[in-house]
Parts: sequence; structure tokens; C-alpha cells
Amino acid sequence: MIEDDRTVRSYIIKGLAENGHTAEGAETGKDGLFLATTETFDAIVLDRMLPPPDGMTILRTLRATGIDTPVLVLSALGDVDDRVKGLKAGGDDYLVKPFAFSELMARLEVIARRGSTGQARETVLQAGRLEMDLLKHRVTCAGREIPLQPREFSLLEYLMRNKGQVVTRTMLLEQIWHYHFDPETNVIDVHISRLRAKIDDKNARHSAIKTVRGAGYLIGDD
Amino acid sequence: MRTLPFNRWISNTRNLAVFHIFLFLVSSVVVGVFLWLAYQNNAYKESKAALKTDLHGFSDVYDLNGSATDLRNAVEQRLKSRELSSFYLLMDEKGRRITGNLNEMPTIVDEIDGEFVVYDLHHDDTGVRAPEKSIYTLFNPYYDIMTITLELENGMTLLVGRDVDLFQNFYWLIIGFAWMAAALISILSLIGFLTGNMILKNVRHIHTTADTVINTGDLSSRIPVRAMTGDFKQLADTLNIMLDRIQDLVMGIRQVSDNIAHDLRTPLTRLRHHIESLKENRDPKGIERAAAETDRVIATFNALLQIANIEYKKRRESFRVLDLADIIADIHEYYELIAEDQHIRFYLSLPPQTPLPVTGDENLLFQAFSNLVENAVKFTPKGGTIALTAGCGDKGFSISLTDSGPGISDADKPFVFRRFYRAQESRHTPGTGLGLPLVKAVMDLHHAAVTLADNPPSGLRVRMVFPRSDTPAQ
Repeated sequence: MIEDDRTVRSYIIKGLAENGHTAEGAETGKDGLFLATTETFDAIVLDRMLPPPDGMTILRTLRATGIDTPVLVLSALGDVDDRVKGLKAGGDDYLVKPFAFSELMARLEVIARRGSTGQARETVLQAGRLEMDLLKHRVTCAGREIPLQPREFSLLEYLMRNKGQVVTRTMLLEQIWHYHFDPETNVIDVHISRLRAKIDDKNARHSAIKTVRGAGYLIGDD
Repeated sequence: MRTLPFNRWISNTRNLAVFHIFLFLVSSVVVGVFLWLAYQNNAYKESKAALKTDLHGFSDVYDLNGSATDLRNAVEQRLKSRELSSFYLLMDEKGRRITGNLNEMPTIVDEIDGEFVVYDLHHDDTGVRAPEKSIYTLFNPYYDIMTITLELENGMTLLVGRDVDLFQNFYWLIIGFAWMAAALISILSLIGFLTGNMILKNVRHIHTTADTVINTGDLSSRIPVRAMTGDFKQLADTLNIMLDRIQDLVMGIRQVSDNIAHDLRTPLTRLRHHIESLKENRDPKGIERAAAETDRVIATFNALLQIANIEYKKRRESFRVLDLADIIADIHEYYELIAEDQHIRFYLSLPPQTPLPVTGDENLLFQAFSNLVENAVKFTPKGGTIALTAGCGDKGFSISLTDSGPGISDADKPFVFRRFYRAQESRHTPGTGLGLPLVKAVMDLHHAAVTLADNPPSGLRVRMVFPRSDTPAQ
């Protein structure tokens, strides 16, 4: 966690600890770069604005020295241009301050897992009674085939790929619709509820897609 | 508050006027002196020399024989050939005229310069042939003649004279010129003084207005232009327009900050209530509500910052050529379900000839369209209709969004693109009042025109016209 604002840094480290993760903090770019190059981490949270070297320089240095630890870039600059620059410099994800901790947590877990599983391509995804055949583009629930619209399919696919992890509405908008902005209304919820209506048994007590209050959605094995 | 002294300005302009008058004065004096010297040195000297030569000629004639008759003949000879500007008078020892073109010895002495005497001679006194009357003689019946007299051994007197009236007149001309120059300088000084005063008055008006604005911060004062003309009027008009513009901008900023204060007070007050109630019981729902309230405040600030970023940075680095039809279709697909849930029909119609290439940022465009559709969904009643239509023209593409909601009254239409402006009817619906300003900012960034119109019988029609990109969509 490379961040010069003490409040934000300790808040995030505390939050990560509460979620069962261990995190180390660095106040300056110099300390951060030293930590990132000498120790192994699952993921790095990097602020753009730092006492020199700045976030982008650290990121480029890391990538140039072959360290491909997933990096989530934090920034107070909300421009689309900045996002593009951040991602081009080798960042894996980009989050604009101020952000909800749940958003950071969800994104961090996704990029950390992406780092550990690498680019291994599964052809069949499975979650509970749901099964998704990516080659045949088919979804079954306990053997019963469920016809899905392309968008519903990609929604479900993204949830199943990140099984057991919370995905936020913003992440869904980014990943499924490929637009980057903060959806403030419940449009995504409507899409999810449609998907739920299709994949859930009418008499099931819980939906396969769980709503995580204040954060987003999650698909599990139960 | 720092103000510049105005007095320096006064002296500058005055000095300039005084300097010019002084310059004129000096040049007049120089020319006058030069003319005077020319008159003194040449005209008079020449006349004297001519008279002397003439006289010597006659005295030589007399000296040769000592004959009075020869002299008389010589004078008469000369009278025949000489032009009228020469005068001769030969008198006997008693002063009686023997010959010459003067009747008698002139009496009125004007000036004595050594051996030369200048007489004032009346026209009628000139001898046989009166000289022609010139323009000067109209005013002055006297001639000025310069004479030299020679007394001969036999008691006769010979007077040789020359008309110097021209030179005398020239002298008066110079004096006249000097007076005229003096009068001219006085008039010019007066004009210069008045003009300078007028300029100073105008400058002082501008200065006073600027001073008022600087010192009091009151942007409503204007330079009085009614009394001004020409360049000063133009300058004052321009400065007044600048003040208008500054006032508009400052008012805009003031209004926005007032609105921010007003609009954020409500959620912050609610937040405070939530936190206070949390002191008593740690209700998780209360925490959530407090967090949601905070999110609303943050969302408002984010939206403000985003609009500011789009408006002032004018960054188009993320721009690429994209297909407007794709974005419109995505928007339709994204909002179709929510419209359906609210029993609103949501139609999409695209022109047959796609793609619609436009240079832009798809995220900003999606967000702008999404704001518009969200408004349409919010205000369209159950059973209503929303239609998203893309059209293709020669120069660009039009996107229109129509709904069957209450529409926006004509009185509100010009203001809805202002930050935090909420039409009377929508005051009580949720929203930040920043949705349409963002749309406007995004459209401006894309050089797209956005207009609002009624969609009869009821509803709003938002029409955007995008310039066509020359390169095909990627």
C-alpha cells in the first residue's frame, strides 16, 4: 500500500486486515519502490500523487525490472485520460478517489487472483448447480438448459469467473458494457434481477447471485 | 487595494500639448527672424546699392562737362526709359523743379538712414505719370520711396528715388505674419487644451470606473459612453462588454457556489442526524444510511469536478473515431430493462447506413446519453414512450431522445444546462442538478450542438447534432 496520506493508508491497511489480508504500508515513493522490489506481494495499491518518485514512475520501474505484481492505481485525478495513462503504464486496474472500501477490496481481490491463476483459460465454469460451457455458449442449472441473451451470458460469465468474490456495479459496467463511469442508479440491479429470474428455480429460497449490501454481487457454490 | 495615481496621466497629456505649442512657437519665431533678416540684408541693401549706382551715373555725367543741360538731358533720357518705380527730381539752386517725375521735393520724412531718406509720398504728388495703383494703395494712399540726394557745384539738387513700398509692405507682411502666428498659436493652444481636457475627461471616466471596480469589487459600474465619440467610445464599449462578461462569469461562479452550499447542506444535515442517532443505538441500517448520504455528497463533488475537468481542460487525448450507432445501441440495451420494469416503451431507431463515425470519447458520450435517458425514464409516467433516434445528415449525425413526460417549460429551458438548476416541477425528485450540465459539457467537448424542444402533446425532445468524422470508425 503505497500512499502518502496517513489516514487513507491506515484505513486501507486496517480494512484489508479485517478481510483477512496482510498489508504493508509505505509513505513515500522511495520506500514503496524499495518494498515492492525486495519483497513479494499478491497485489500493490499505488497512489499516483506521491513524494518523488511519483506513482507512474514507480509503476514503470517495476514493469521495466520484470516485476509483474498486479497493481491497482489510486488517483484523485478523475480524467479518462489519466485512467488510460495509468493502465498504459502497466497498471492492472484504476480507482478514483474518493472510493468505497468495498470497491477497492473487490477490485484488489480480482486482480490478485488474476495474478495467481495467470492466463489459464477454462472452458467450463461451475458454481453450485450452475454450469457454463464457454465453447458451446451454453448454461445449465442442474442439467436444465437456460437460454440467455448475450449480455446476460457475459454477466453470468464474469460473476462465475470471479466465483466467491464480490464484484461491484462499477466493475460490471466496465467489464460487461466496457464503459468507464460510476453508475449511480440501479440499472445494473435491474439487469441482475433479470438474470436471476432466468437462472433461479422458482421455488429456490436464495438466489444463486447474492447481493452484498453496500458493495455488489457475488456468486458462490451454494 | 492598490490603485495607480491618475495625476501622472494628466501631466503626460498636458505636457504633450504644451510641448507641441512650444514647438510651433519656436518654429514661427525662427521663420519670422529668418524673413526679417532676409528683408533687412537683401532688399534694402540692394535698393541702396541701386540708388547709389544711379546717382553716381548722373554725377559722372555732370563731372564730365560741368554742364547742367547734359545732366538735365540725361535725367529726361532716363525718365523715358525707366520703369515707374524710379523717381527723379532735378531742382535749381532755389529748389524749383527743372525736370523729373516728382512735382516737388517730398516733405513727409518717414525714416532717415544715413545718406538715405525714406519719404512718404502721396500718389497725387508723383509727377507726370502717376504710378499704377496696387492693392496696397487701396488701404494706404502713400508711397514709400527711398531717396538719395546730390547737391551739385552749381547749386542744383538731384534726387534719385526708388519705390520701396513693396519692401515696406513686406515689412508689414512680416509683422502681420507674426501677429497671425501669435493668434494661431493662441487658438491652437486653446483647441489643444480643450481636446486634451476632453481626452483627459474620457480617460478619467475609464479610470474612475476601473478604480470603482478595483476598490469596491462592484462589477455593476460601467463607463459612461454617452458623451464619448470615436475611438474612446469604442474602447469604452469594449471595456463595458468585458465588464459584462466578467460580471456574468462571477455571477455564475457565485451562483454555483451558493448552490453547492445550499445543495450540500441538506445531505450533510441529514448525515449529522444519522450520526447523532448512531450515538444512541448502533443500528447497522443507520450506518448504511449515513454512508449512502456521504456517497451522495461525494457523487455531487465528483460530478462537479468532472464537469469542470471537461469544460476547462478541454482534453481530447482520449478521443478516437468511434461509431455513434454502437453507443446508442448500448445505451438502449442498457436501459431497456429498467424502462420495461416501469412499463415504458423504449424504442431505438438507427439509420440504415451505419456506422456513424464520430471523433470522441465513448465513456463520456455513454455517460451523457445515460444521463439523458435516465432523466427520460425518471419523468416518463407508466405506459409512456421513450424513443432514441439516430439520423444521418450531410454534415453530421443527429441523435434525438423524445419522451412523454411533463417536458420542460419554456421558461426553464434556457437554464437547465446550468449547474444545480432544478426546474420547479423536479425540485422534489432525487437528483443532483448536474446531469444536464454534464451533457452540455460533453457535447461542447465533442463540438456537438444540443437543443431542447417540446415533444407534443407532452414531453421533451433533446436533439444533438454531431459533426461527422472524416475517418471511418475503428
